[in-house]
Amino acid sequence: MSTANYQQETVFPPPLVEGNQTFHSVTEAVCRVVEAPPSKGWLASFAMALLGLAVLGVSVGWLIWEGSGIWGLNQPVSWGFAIVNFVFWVGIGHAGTLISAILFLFRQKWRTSINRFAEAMTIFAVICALLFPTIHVGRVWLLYWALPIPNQMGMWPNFRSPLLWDVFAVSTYFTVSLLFWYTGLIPDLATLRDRAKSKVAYYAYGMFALGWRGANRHWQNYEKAYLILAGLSAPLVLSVHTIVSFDFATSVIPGWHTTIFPPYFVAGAIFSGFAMVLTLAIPARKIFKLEEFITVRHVENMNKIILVTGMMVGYAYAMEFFIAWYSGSAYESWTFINRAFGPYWWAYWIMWSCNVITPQLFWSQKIRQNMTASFILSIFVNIGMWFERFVITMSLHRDYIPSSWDYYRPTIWDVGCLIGSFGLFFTLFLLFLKFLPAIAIAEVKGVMPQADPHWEGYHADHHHSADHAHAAGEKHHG
Amino acid sequence: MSTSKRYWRSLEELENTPAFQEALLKEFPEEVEPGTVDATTRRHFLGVMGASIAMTSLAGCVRRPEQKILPYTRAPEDLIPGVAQHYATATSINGRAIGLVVEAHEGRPTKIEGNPGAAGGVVRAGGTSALHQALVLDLYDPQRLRIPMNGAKASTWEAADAALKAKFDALKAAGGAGLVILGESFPSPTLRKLRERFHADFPQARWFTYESLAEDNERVGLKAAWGEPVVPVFRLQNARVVLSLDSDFLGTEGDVVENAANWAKSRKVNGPNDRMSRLYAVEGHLSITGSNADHRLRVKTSQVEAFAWALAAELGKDNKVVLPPDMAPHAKAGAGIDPKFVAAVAADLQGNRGGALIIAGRRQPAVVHALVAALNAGLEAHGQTVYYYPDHRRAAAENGDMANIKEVAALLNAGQVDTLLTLGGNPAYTAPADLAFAAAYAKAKTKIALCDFLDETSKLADWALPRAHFLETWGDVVSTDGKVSIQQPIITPLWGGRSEIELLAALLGEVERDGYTLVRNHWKAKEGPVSFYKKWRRWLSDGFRQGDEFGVVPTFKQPAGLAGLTPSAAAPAGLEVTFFDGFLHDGRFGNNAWLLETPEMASKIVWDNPALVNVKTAQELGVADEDRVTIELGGRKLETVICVVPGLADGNISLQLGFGRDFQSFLPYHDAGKVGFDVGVIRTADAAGFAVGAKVTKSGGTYPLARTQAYAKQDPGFGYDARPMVREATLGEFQKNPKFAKEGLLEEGKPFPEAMVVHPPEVAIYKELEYTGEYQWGMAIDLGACTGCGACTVACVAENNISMVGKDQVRRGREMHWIRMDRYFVSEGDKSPDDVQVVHQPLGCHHCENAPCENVCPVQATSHSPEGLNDMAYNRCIGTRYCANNCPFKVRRFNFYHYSKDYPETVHMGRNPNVTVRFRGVIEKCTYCVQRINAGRQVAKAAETPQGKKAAIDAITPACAQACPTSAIVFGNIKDPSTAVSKAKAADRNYRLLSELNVKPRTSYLGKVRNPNPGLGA
Repeated sequence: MSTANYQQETVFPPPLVEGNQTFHSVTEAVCRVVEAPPSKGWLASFAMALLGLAVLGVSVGWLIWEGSGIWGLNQPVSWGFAIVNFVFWVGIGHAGTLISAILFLFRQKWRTSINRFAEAMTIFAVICALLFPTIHVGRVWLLYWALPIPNQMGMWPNFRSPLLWDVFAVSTYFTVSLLFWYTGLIPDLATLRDRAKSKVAYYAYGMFALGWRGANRHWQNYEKAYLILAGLSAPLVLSVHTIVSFDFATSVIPGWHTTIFPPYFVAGAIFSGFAMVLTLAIPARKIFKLEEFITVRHVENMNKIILVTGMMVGYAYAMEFFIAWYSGSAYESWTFINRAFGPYWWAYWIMWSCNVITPQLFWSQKIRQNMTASFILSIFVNIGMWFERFVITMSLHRDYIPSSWDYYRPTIWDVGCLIGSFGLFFTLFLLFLKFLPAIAIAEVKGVMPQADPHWEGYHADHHHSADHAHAAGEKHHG
Repeated sequence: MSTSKRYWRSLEELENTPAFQEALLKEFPEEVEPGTVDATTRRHFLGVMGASIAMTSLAGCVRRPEQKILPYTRAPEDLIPGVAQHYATATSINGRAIGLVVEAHEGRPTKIEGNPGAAGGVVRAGGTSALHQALVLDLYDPQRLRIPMNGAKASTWEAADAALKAKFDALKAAGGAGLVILGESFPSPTLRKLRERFHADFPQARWFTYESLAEDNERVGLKAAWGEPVVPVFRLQNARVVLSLDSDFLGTEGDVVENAANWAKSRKVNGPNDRMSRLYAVEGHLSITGSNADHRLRVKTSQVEAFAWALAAELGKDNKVVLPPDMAPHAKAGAGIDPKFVAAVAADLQGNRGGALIIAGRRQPAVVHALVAALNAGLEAHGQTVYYYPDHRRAAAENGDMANIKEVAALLNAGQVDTLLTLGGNPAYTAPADLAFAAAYAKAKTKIALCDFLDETSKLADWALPRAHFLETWGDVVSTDGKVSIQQPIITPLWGGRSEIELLAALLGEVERDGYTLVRNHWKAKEGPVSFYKKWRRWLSDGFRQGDEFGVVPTFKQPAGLAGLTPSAAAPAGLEVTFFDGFLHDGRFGNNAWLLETPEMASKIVWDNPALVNVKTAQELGVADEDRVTIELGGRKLETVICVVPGLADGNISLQLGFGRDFQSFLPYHDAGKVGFDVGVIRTADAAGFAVGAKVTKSGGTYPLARTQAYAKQDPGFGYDARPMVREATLGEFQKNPKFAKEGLLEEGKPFPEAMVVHPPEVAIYKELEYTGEYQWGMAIDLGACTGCGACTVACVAENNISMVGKDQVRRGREMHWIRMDRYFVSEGDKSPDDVQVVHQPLGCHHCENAPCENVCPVQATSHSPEGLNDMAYNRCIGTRYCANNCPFKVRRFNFYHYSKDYPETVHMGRNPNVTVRFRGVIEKCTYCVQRINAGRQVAKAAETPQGKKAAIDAITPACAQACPTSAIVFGNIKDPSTAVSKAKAADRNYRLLSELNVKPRTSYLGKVRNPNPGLGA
């Protein structure tokens, strides 16, 4: 890893792709992962993921057969792990959309190496998220009643319910994210089609490549579609978690009934999403030897975002505590003291430690650039953000009338569903890594120096200095 | 034939117009051109046909359960399918009679209510206790004995009758020698008559009455005082000062329904000038009565007697109360008895002569009862607040139930019993441990048991005969004060059981041996045949007989004194146990899931009977909740578990009777098996109420307990003020500030000092609903009248088909009660946590006008009726549980499992057909008994006059309000200012819970007023 380059960052920004890549070598490097037979590492990971999926299958099957009673829910705490997991997974998704849409609109070229990855993560996270409200209801088989389906009985959902807003917000989010991801995949699917050696792969990739030939007109339409979808996705980054936060904020429960929730949830979502991208990308770049595409610079940029958003959630934690006191409402302020020192004090302090305290280590450039440290800290953030949702949901355990206070203890099936959702996520993610290009080949090529028609390399030796090459590229794009 | 004749059909044909020519050529007349008249074309027809075939075949795929409908070939008289019928009847528990009205649907009794009305000039309360509410479940209990059992073999009534006849013929020839009957205490005049006949036919036979929760001490003590066995009847409505000496007269002892109703009457304060009675309680256990006391002195149960003597000494000063000469020397201040308290109580009693009343509990020794009789006489209570009536449940010669059971055991052990017939009761379980009754029982040559279940006793019997439930047979009962009610059956015996009088008549060889004839003939003989039919019809319709069974009540003036009774020696220091009874009574309701799942008042424990100790004793013993312990008493050992409850006396261990029996579960989420601990293993005949000299050792390990309310204070902790859920004031404070309960209500414009301010004041997110209905429903609950007895909770279960969930599910916080009884302990600043007062607050759905549950439901499964009901459409609910979260009162209940899965057929029979049985995955909650509201509205609609209409609407009562003995709950139309609920809501004490949230609940509370003695300080 050539850290030497970074000393010159003020003069020449570091390259987005390292290692003197050519267009061909990029294609090779990315497609190799898909085309080579599955590695032992992949097989082992996939077996683990399938095991997790099996846990989910058993947990959900038993849940539907027997009833929500298999979870640890009780009378004051009607929402438990399932809703915590839902909010957690929806939050994870946000980083993908932020990277692909907002950074695209802001022309942040460094996003190209990680956007495919992050978008896939978004989709799988949203699938996991959608699972939970589905299985969470008492009568799963009637869930479609929450959808506005015209029917002869004139039954109609309640548009005042934040849960219904959720249905629209999350399903829109899923649809747009899926389209966005798929649109971006089309040129790369065509590449895989063209390189396919087996008939099955040829037809499979060919079908999804929609007859892409790389014609000028294709590219024009593609760019337009991509831009439009990026434009559509961008507001979703803000809207989805805002609406998810309404599930809590529009209620009357102390600790939930708060105006700070929408921005607080969005910041938290981005925070947790970037942490998850790192959790996935750091091992993946190692295993699939993609270090030259997902570079230290990418990791460091993401660490910076984690640092910033981490402080935003820290601010939110402090502010909701302050406002609870400042409001003068004894119910509100009591609830926050109960969070910090009541029966769930441990969850509250796990949340503070993992989300606010440990990310402060990222002030140090050394830690930001250290892969192991970044990986470990990203895990901390994942844990912390899960606990944040747990802390919020557990406001239920002690609300207004002391006689109904109780304590929520998860059962093995609560844990099974949580572990199982990771199984589902990793199963999907590993299948993605194996069958689809994990890095957007076409886009990466677009930010390589070679993409500049005036690139000096076309006139000089192919072993031209990377610094020069980059400088030339910058001149054009800057 | 002439060709000039023309046959034509129309003028057009006659004229043969071109239009007619054209029309002739057309295949179809113009009017029926395809598509002109109806839209059915050939294609359309085929399409519809195809669709129909597809749909019928689809419909054919749906598996529908095969059901057979049997119509009435001869419909019962007056029965309209779908319209409930109500019959007056009566029953008794432990010899205490109560008049009832039973609701029946298509011949199946489903709900039991008290019978309000006037009997013999005495106005009866319409309420019941929790036990009476649960009796209907016993009727349908699938575990009831269904056929006579000959040992372990199933038999028939014919075989049993033949065997019994042979046996009793032989016994009769021998003059009844060797025959012993052990019966429960039946307050039945017909049975009493049969008993006389029995003694005539079997002169040498013996008949013993035995109840495990015996009132022997009272019987012996009052016999000493008045020379004959009498039972006191209290007129608490006349009382101004009441002192309970270890008596739970409001909860479990005596005529609790009447007592509670009358006591509440004496305490109803609407304005500052109203008078209010004062209640002192001196006890070791924390009873329901004690929890309602204005002043409560915690002394060990064994020391209550010392208190009584100290009080006697205080009252005897200056000859204010003259004690009989043999009592006077014993009246002196006792060690460890707070003299200030004694002085204050004595002064209060003395100052309210004629309105003062002392009540001694059944645990207290006979000498206390004799002393109390003397004190009451001295305080001029007799004829004012207490009357004495003869004990009609036992023969005058009987000494007492414990003496009886001892004698029966002795006879059995001496081999002098040839035939032992038990009429009800379960002595093998309830008899004191020192009698080893089960072993003695086996020594009888022939054992015949008339029983409800195959229980500990009847399992050992040679003949176990199924007893009919009181709802199945004719009978009669007489109340303690001599009012007779006819026990009218509502259903034929489900399993062909017999009542006690039917069995007895058969054994006596009576020709007429069916209950109806027996009871009717008894009363016909008594009343004379003149117009008896009319009277009889009248009794059945009213539910009681006009007239007094006992004739002139004996009046007593001067108590005889101790009459040989000796005051108890001072109890040794150290631990002692107090036996108390709760919802299982003496164990007879041990198979009743409704009662097993109703929380005990103080501990809020269900499905168990832990040993209750107070905070200090627990600290001294080094034990905590759920610790397993061994309690050793006189060489007997009890393995049990600890539950710490503040408010008990130091060194007292309260043990609840009736547990430790096998529960044959039909609940899908509760395993059958032993429930709780049989504390009877350390209960002896001579110490059946309490026992001194107990030893407690930790036996290691813990035992899980299920409680419905974990947090017991209104003070939330972390230095915050107590939350004003139950608002209370002393009488003095109330007189100064009658609107004390309204402090802190936003709607009154007075924010609660510091605590409950909401910034900014909450406003509704959406436009508030307008309530346009003709009637507007509301409820008011008087916290001053609520005793915490739990009748409302069980009544609600019975009315609304609420599932019981079982111990494990309650432990997980999933009990389903729609109206729960919140209990908070109140203690003064730095006082011991055991010096507590108790407040009770029944809490069901508040039917908020701005209901937070409604707007969050994604499928609109819960929404408002124009009459202000927060309705719940179970069928629409998908179970997101958001409504339950957003309910600030936390009254919504979720069916986490299919709690009513696989219920036996008989249990289904007892269900209220007007209330949907909820399926797994849906939310349920209090509906204000919407089925009753709708039934009442139908009556109102059919009423012809405005008065009739109003009467129909005013008669609507939810199950909780109807069951409440003290009428603490009132319900009705709040739009009409003349209704009881409107008046209650207009009262100064009225307040709405959590009004600061702007939810505008339709249920409101009337603040609690206590009447402490100013002389005793706070």
